[in-house]
Amino acid sequence: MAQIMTDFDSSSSPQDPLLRLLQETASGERDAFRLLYDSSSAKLFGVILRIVKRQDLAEEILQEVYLIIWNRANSYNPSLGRPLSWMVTIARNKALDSLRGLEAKAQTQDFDEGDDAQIQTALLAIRPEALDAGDRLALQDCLDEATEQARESVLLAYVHGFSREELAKRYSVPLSTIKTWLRRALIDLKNCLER
Amino acid sequence: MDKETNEHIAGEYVLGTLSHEERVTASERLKTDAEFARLVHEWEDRLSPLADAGEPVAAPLGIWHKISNRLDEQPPRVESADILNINETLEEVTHSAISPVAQLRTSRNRWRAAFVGAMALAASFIGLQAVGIYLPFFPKPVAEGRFIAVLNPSGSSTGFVIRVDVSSKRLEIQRLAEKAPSGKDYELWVIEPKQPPKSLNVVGRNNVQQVGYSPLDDSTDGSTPLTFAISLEPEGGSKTGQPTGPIVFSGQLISQ
Repeated sequence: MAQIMTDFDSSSSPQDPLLRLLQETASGERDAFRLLYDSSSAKLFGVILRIVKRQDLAEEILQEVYLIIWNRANSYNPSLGRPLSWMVTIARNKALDSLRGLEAKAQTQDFDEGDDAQIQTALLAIRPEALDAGDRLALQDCLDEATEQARESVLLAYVHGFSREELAKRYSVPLSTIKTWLRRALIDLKNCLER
Repeated sequence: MDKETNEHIAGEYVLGTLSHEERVTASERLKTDAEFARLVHEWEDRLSPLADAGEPVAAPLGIWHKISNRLDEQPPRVESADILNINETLEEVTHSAISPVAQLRTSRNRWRAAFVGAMALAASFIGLQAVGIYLPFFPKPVAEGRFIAVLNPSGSSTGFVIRVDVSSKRLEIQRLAEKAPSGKDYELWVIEPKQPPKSLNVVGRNNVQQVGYSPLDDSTDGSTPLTFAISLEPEGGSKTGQPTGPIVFSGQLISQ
């Protein structure tokens, strides 16, 4: 058991206060969960809001995300990534599930794309100086190597929840072209990051 | 599906560009296909720095209260602790005996290899929460005291709770699961490291029953994990002295 404990501790950053809060949440401590919420909800709400672009829906999803975090906290372990990354993944998945579900229901390619000016600002916000750790720099370098359209498509999809249809519309190209771009962009990104 | 296609679907799943239908299919695969789940996890890692791209947005004040209220309405948290805490001995013993459980275990083995021991630790915590007991971390070695094992089914709800009192050498087993189907009996086994399972008798139809039992000395400091398992046997118990039916519940003994 001592060995297990060592593995558990050494594979995570002891400085990360969220790790402790998440572990306490896993033990059913509501106070810790409240602190976890206070420390992470703005981050998660931003992520969700940028994807679904609707305040009421984003609020609903945020609630569900924290219920999931509460229920799954005991399945978290550091090999799943940093606590915040793990929570962001849950938030993104929930937001994307909801957005794609709504789009399918509405059967429209015309889903609100959000304010274009806002999107431009956000795209500009991805600057090298905002990316401190080594892996972030690597990703930034690899994105910089990609074509402008590939880079932008990846960011619009990941950060703003753009669907293939929305990307096709934005760049005035057929859907099949977008599919090819995305496929190519992912392959290039993976190869570049593995170099 | 070939590897390249899987890789591509995993990438687009994380990127978020799969259509609704493709996304639902991928989500289902994530639950059953460990290789696909691994690819998705790799893409999550690769792209996660992008999540820092946008600014945080303060959530409206009332949201926490809504979450808090919904937690109050929730039934007590019960997770599928699965069978991650089954030890290797049990695995060998039961490998040929059970089909669904063995299948599930096989699909999870690949994950477990990657997750080192932390997952097993998490799994034992899950069991504890299922009965509302909080255990901060594993305690220092203790020579006496009370120990507990929660045996979870491969499904989702708690099955049995076992309490071991070292001083009185008693083991108490409490059944939370449904009764054994008619014509069958549950049988309790303890599996000590490198030993075949030892029967601790058939679990009767009562909710709670006691048997004499004393755990190994070094199991009380956590250095020797003891696994308890419950198999489904013909009425009256296994005729061979070893489990013959499927292992339906299992869990490890930890300090209370």
